[in-house]
Amino acid sequence: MQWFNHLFYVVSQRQFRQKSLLFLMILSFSNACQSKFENNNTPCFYHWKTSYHLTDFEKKYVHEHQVKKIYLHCFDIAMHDSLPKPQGVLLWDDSVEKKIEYIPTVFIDNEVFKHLDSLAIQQMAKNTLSLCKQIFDAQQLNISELQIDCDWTKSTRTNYFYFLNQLKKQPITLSATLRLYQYKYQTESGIPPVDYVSLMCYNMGTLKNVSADNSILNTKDLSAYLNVKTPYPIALNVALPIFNWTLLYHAKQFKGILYQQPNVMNENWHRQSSILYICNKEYYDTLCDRIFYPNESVRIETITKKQLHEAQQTIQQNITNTKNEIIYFDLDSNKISQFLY
Amino acid sequence: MKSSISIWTAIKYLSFCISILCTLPFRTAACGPDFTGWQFSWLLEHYTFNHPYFSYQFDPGSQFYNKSWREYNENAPDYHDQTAFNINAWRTYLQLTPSTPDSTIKLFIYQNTKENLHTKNTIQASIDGKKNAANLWQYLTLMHDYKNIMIPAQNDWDYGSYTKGVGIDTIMPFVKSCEQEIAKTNDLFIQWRLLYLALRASHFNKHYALAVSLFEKHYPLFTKDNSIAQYWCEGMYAGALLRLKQYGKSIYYSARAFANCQDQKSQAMNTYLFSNRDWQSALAFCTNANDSIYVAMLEGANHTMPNMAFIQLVYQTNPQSEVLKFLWLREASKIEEFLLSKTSDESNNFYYMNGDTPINMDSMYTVSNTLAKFIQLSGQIINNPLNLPAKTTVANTTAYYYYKTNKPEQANSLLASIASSPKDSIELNQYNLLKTLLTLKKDKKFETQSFISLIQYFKSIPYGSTNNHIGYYLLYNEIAPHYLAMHDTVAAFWTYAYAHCYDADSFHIYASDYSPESFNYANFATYLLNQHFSIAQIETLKNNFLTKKGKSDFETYLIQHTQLDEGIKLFDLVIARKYMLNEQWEDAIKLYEQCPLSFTSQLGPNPANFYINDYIETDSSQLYKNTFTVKQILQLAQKLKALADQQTPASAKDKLLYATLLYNMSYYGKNHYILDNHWYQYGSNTAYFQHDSINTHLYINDQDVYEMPLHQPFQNYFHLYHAEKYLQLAQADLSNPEDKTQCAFLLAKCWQKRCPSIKKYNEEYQYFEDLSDYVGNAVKNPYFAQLASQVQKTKLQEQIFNTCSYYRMYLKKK
Repeated sequence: MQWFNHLFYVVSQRQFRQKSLLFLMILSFSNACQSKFENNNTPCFYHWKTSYHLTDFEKKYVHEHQVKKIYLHCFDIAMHDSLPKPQGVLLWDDSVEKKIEYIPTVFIDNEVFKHLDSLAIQQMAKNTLSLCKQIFDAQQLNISELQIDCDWTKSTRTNYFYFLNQLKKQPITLSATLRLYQYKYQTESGIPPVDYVSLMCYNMGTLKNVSADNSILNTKDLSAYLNVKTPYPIALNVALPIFNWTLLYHAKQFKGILYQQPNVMNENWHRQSSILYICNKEYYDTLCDRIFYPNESVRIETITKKQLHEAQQTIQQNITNTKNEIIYFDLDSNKISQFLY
Repeated sequence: MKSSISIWTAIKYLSFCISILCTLPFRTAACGPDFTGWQFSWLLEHYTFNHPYFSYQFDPGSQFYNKSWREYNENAPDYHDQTAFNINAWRTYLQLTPSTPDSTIKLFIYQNTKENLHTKNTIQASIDGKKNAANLWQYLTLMHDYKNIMIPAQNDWDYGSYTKGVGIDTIMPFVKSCEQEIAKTNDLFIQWRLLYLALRASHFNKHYALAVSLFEKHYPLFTKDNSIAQYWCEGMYAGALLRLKQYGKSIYYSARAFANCQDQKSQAMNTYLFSNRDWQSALAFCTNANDSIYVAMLEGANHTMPNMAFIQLVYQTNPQSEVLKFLWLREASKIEEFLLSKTSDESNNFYYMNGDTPINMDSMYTVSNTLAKFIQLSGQIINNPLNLPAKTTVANTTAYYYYKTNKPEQANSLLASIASSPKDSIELNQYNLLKTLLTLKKDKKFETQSFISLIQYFKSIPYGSTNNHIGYYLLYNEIAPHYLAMHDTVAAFWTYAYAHCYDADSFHIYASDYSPESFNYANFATYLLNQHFSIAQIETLKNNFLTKKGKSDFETYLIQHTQLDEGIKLFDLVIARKYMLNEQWEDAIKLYEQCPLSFTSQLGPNPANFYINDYIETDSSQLYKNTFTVKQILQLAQKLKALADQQTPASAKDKLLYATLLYNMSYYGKNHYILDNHWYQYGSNTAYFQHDSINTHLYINDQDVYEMPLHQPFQNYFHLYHAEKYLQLAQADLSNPEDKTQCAFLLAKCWQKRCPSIKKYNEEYQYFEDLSDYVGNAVKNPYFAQLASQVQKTKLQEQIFNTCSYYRMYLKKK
């Protein structure tokens, strides 16, 4: 009798993986923002679910806003029984939108590259492209581009770049995701052999320390990451997630992430800083459906328009060779309605 | 990114960790090593493993983390196979003999193939002996088909593996086959399993409405036998309802499945959180009192404090539930964990309003309000005749609350009120335990027999089936501190020694950190042995250990049950070390052969060699080899001391060599291992940090109750007084410039070790920060002055300059 456990284990793992991959990124966008950077950009989205299905709202949105591209997460690759195997393979629950270009995106666990030799990497490159093609064939889609998402490190760099080179032998556009530290420390991290990279602006603060600044977006740190002497040698676009979250602390100890924000605008909460609220009275919060206690505090991390504007300016000032594309993470009705409307 | 950690870094880290470990106990009460609370915890965990109603997925702290001491790791060798419940069900159903191994049954049920289904074996014979054998074989065939159709085939890179079998065209024939087999039999065992197969096929292929309709069609027709397969089906239904956003009903069935299904209970279900938690609407589906408690248990898993409003609601509608006591224990454990355990400074929950106004959040009215409601409802339960099943546990729990909050009268009164109430075996032990502890606190009397029987009871609980740590907690947290408070240090020592022995025995960890070989490790028994007892007193302890007799019945019981792997040799080692610290080398050598092999077999460098760096620093070039046995080191020490003690100028070199040996055997030297086990223990650094005092204080329950004299050698070990004395004597008579340099530098090192130590607790990172001004101290070092003023420059002086940063700092500042 494993189903219940399996189901929730898978859900939780997948949610965690999604979050740890991309969700720590920054920013939300609003139509009110008037920066040149934003106006010139083509909106794109990541679709990061294991089954493809767009709600009516999502369909309406992508059409109204002329979304050109969807980076479609097709599967993960992780080691299983000493072999790299696909996990969380995408299933089609809906037909694709005709005017949108779909780009298969594959996340590869960095551990994979610690265990493979060159022959195995060659085979994995073939398998990766083959499985993407099969997935796209099911919807009569052609693959002209492929994006690989991997948080490579110094120790895996050689193998990872070898893998990318194998893929580059195919007549497709190849892109890869890029973390902020990989952008900043180009010499140590190396430049991936791809046609362009998607710079993912990650969480730049700590979750554990209750007093820390906004961990999703901190323009000061973002600026530090982007302030490099040498421009990145290949073109890039910027990946910006659309989400917020609330961090829960009990007696200053980090307890976890609440995906529902409590109502802090009442006498039950004392505002300690711009984002940190301390509960000063036990009460039941209907939004979170939980009781908060005086020894608890929450750090509500979201993006204001001002912060967003500052972040955009920071990116604009520091990055010149962009492809004029912003990829939002991810395509989801709730997030779109909250951040993009 | 750093690709490796240098040895130096590792040693520094280790030293830091050791210093934290050594220092930490003095900041907190003498309590168990790894849990803040224990009473409710053991009550709770006892039920967790022994009672079918409870499981730790309801752990309130596991909203985000799995707090179970048994981690969910299927690869762990001792991982409990969750299929065991199903295997047992099959064993009973097929009436298989105990000689049929679980693995054979498992292989048959889960991993059979069509080809070997009919292989001749005992299982096959048992199936064929059943009236509905054909039906059973068909079920097993469907199991096989399920794997073939629903689980991706071997080729992981074939997309067909993921899409095949998920379509309704594939699912429906399979579901129909299951239903046909259900209709053919009245055997519940197989009916539930067939329904489960059909539900699983539907649900996992995203046909949630089909799963719901299947369940609703068949479930009412089946007799509810409370089997695991029944709850598998209920759980599957709950999952499908969740996907269809029918939250209330989904919660209800989930709560039932979690509470009743054996294999779900002990799995890592802690991540199960409803995005829309419609608890009150779930209550509407509850048809009996127990079900609503299950919902309340699930609800409470989402909060770190009791949600008294919801508990009150559940109680009012279902006052007579027999499982109310488990809810109560769980909620009580929250109170213990988050309120009662906050006793030491660092756990005080202060926040600073507007940046500068401290507010103790724990003492605020609202928390008191929760407690008041908890106590109030306890009273209601105890006084309500409908609550007989829960009454004893609730009274025990509340009495414990009073005990912990120093209200013994209320605790006694509550216990008196349930003196004649019916109690199960666990409740009886809770009751007796509390009574014993209350007597201990009130009259300072010790009900020896009562306590021994409790300890024996806890000891009899098999390892793995419950947390038999309880006995350890009792000994460590209640009884030993009681003896210390009475200044009966001998009884306290035996209690601590037995507690460690008990713990090691429970967890089969002899010869590791918690083992009774603990005289070599950091624990309170070691601390007492090394710091409190003289050599003569240890001889008495040793004799008592040999004769297995103590001064009281309880002490005798403790001694008789303290079993040390290396037995009497451990006492001899402690004595030998004391001789070494007193520089009574001859006496130490006499005891050498009696010491444990783990000590005598060690090898080290020549102790009379001089090194610029202390042992905690890295030697990039391996300057020494470990060739000296402990005995050789002791013999050399004896010889050098005899020579050094001669009052002649010719002995100056011997004095220098002997001082070098003393330095090397101190806390900082390369031969420190001979004595360091003695010092890496409870509170060892106290004298190091507060060297002005040779006394240290024992804190029990945060009260400074006991001043313990520390032995003089303790200070010498850290502060090197004797080494410095010999060096001073040698200095005047040394003629060789290199020797003079070595002598001056060693003097400087000894002096430097007495730098006033300033430790500050870092609130943010929760460790003791070293704020000692070593550099500032070095600048004042009078022996550096001597070294620097040495007229004739030596090779060693140059090496020192190149190696010792303190010396360079001195020269720079000078």
